[in-house]
Amino acid sequence: MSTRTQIYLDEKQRRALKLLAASSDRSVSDLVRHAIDRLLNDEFAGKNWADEMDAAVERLRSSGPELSEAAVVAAVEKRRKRQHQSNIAV
Amino acid sequence: MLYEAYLRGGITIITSGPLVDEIAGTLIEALQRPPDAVENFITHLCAHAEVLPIRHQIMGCLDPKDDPVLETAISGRANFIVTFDKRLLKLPDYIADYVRRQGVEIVLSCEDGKTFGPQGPVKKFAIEHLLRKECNVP
Repeated sequence: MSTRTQIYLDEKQRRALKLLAASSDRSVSDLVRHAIDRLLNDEFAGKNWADEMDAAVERLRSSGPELSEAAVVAAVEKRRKRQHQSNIAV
Repeated sequence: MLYEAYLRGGITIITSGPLVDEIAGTLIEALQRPPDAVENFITHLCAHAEVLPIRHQIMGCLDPKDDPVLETAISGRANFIVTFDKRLLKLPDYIADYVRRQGVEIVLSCEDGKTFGPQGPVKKFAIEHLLRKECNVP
């Protein structure tokens, strides 16, 4: 499924893309998607997303004491209350 | 189990700016996690989530901070909201009915402490306010 996304291009990029689209019989959107795919392939080549995500979570988890679910819920509540009070103060 | 399914790609996480802000803020301010570790986590999370714009609609939750959770779920056509927030699990009937009619089910994140595997509650928190859809896990 595709979703509509708005991006800003400078004039040079826009002109070059239109020229390329006309000469290659492809739409500008198709060219942009192709360019994004190439970028993402380059960026993520050889990387395993799941391992990286797991490492990020593990780093987060190990950077402080273990917490019970109740403590986590309490932390969320406490922060919300503090924000609510500061909003009232403002 | 849910977390493992997420890593395998069986679950799409749907989130929005206010939810990400709350996760990051709570991790840093209330749970004292290092900002760089939180930023790293959020970056990875958002890279593989649907991060939706929302309009800050009033949904009528007792805590207005819960409104964006419902709005994000509905807007993203989520199948589930996974949470252990008692307020979300016991919404007033008229809100619960509305959410259900939009195809969103609100479920408890874990009942036996094992839903997310042995990784600990921070991982659970990380997913607490996030939403899953197309969940094929048992």
